[in-house]
Amino acid sequence: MRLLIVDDSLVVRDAIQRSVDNGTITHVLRAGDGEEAVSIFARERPELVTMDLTLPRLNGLEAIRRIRETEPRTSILVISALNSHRTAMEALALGACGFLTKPFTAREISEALDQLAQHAASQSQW
Amino acid sequence: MAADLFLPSLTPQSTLAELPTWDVRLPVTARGDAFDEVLRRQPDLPGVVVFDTTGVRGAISRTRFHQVISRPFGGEIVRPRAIGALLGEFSSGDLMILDVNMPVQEALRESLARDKSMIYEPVLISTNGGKDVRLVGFTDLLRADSRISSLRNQQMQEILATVQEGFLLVDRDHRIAWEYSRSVETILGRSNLAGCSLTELLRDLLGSEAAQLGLKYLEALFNPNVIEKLVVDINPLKSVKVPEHPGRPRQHLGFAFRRSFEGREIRRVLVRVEDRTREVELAAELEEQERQAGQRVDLAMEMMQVDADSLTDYLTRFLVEVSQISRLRSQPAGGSTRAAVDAIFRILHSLKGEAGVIGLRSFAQRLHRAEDVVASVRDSGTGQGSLERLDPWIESLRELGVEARDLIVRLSALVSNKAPREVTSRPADIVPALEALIADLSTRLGKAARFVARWNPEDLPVAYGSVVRESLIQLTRNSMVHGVETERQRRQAGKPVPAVLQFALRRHEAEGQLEVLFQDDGRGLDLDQIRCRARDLFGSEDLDDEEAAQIIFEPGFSTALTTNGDAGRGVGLDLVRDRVESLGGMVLVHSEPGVFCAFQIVLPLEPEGRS
Repeated sequence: MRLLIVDDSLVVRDAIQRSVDNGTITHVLRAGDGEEAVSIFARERPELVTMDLTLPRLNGLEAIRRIRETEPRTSILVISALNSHRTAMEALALGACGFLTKPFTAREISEALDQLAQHAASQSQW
Repeated sequence: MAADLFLPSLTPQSTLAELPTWDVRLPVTARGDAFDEVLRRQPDLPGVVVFDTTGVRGAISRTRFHQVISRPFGGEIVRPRAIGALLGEFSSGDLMILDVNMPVQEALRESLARDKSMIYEPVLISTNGGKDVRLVGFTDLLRADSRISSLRNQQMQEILATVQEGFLLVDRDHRIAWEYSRSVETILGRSNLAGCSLTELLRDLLGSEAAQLGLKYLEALFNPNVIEKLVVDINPLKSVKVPEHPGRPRQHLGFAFRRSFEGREIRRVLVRVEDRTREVELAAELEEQERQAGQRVDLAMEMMQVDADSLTDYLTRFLVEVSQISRLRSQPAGGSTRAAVDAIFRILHSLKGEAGVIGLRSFAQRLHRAEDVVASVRDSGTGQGSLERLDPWIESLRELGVEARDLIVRLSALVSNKAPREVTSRPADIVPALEALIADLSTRLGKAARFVARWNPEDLPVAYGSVVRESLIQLTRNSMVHGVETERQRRQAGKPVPAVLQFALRRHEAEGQLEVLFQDDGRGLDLDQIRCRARDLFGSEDLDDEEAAQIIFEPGFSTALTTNGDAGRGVGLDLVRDRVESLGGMVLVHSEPGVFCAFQIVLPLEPEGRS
């Protein structure tokens, strides 16, 4: 499966990418803002996405909405600071599968990616 | 009934082997009247197994046999004939034989799946590895199942009634399921929740904001696209404060959610409800302790910047005065609670003033809050037990003093006696201290003022150092707050900016008197306003100018309408007068509206006594 990492911080993008140690994710794409995320997604159609919520140009919620509009089967994991429960709930309502709060440990992100990949696999079986 | 004897020992694992079985058989060739005879001899027999040379052919039940022979001519047809010929009448479809080791509840499900016409027929069971076939009566099977279910239910109810945790189930429409633990009612303070909407309950308990978030979270949990484990951390109801209702204690609730499945489908969500009040309070206490530790560091930093002698003097006085407050609190002076409260107030006010001057902000802040409490005690009536409200504050002030003193000991141990400091005479510190106070008040009040001191520090007897210093602090605050106008007001009135506060000290050896003069060039006493306030506060009518001027020394008098850290509590001048009079001196006030206000303190050069 392919994973698109969306975060405006290079450090965070690297940290997430380093934690990709599960055999099912074979290819990683990266985007630094919402617009870029949506356009890379439209071109590459990766099965998995990790999404920051506070992003330049286009915010994370809007990016989630557009990605799910393009491909409703995409499994999206929000990786963001929990600034407001309202926003978190909205992300789920827009189609995010889960929420990992920043700051995170390498182990947490790695486990979360495993579950995301498993979830995506079970979705495609249906 | 004999059939009930076997029932008490049943468990959910019980199999058909534990039920009474019947192994009465008849060959297919047996006649109907022989069958009738068998039934008559064994009144509990549910039916017989019918066999031929090839094995079991089926079963005929008592009920079915009686149904058939009670038809018109039924007996005449059936009794003389071989029952085998009539087997088709008594059973239909394939022969169902259940293994004796099948659990009771499963066996009932199987039996109920039989053809509708067969449902009440006895059940055939195979024993001995299929060699034997016996009968179990359908009512026995039904009764056994019902018994097991009711035992199960009883145990479930016991758990639900006993478990401390609040558990409830909600369905897709957020309706609360029938069975929930009794604790839910205790924790939430609501009863009869079965069938209620959880969202409405939450709205009622927590307000619409929290209920709305809870609803969205619940919807996410019922959404198969959401991964349960990856939303646990964002549960918005993990710990929520119940809005305070009169008559209900402060409460924090916690809700945890877990999906319950039927196959792969999310059927319901299990909700665990917790009272987290104690937990939250403990966390708050811990935070408070950390905050206090932080304050301790601030206090140390602050103390290191304060002149060492002033600090020691202040602390000594502080601790003495706090003990004095304790005495006043336990034995009100002259038995009057009101007088004790006033006295405590003045002490706090004076301590606060000095703390501000020498730069002990933590002390000043703490004392200001203590004043608030005392003021509220005073204003809400000084009835029985009202002084008890002061205890925590007295205690906290004492702790602060002791803590500061310990800090000094530790700090001085650190610096040891490496750098012996220049011993400065204490009276000389008064002027820089007042200048600092004026500078501070100028910025905060938007007023400009400068200080002019005309004195020779040596003229001040050591014994009067403290009273003069204290009095000047109070008078300065008073002038800055009430006397001195803002810069704009002064310019409009054609007065010079900055205002001038003057202090002079004179020894009159011949009269044996020490005179302290303090004067500002502010707006002077507004006697009309004072009279007005005096009427409101004390009900004093028709005061002449002299009397009106003197009333500013009464405890509790203040013309400032708001209370801030600086003045406006109506404390200060009475304090000055009390201290001065206790030393055998007096305070006079002179004023000209719009021009000046002057205070004259006269003290005997030979002190009469100490306060």
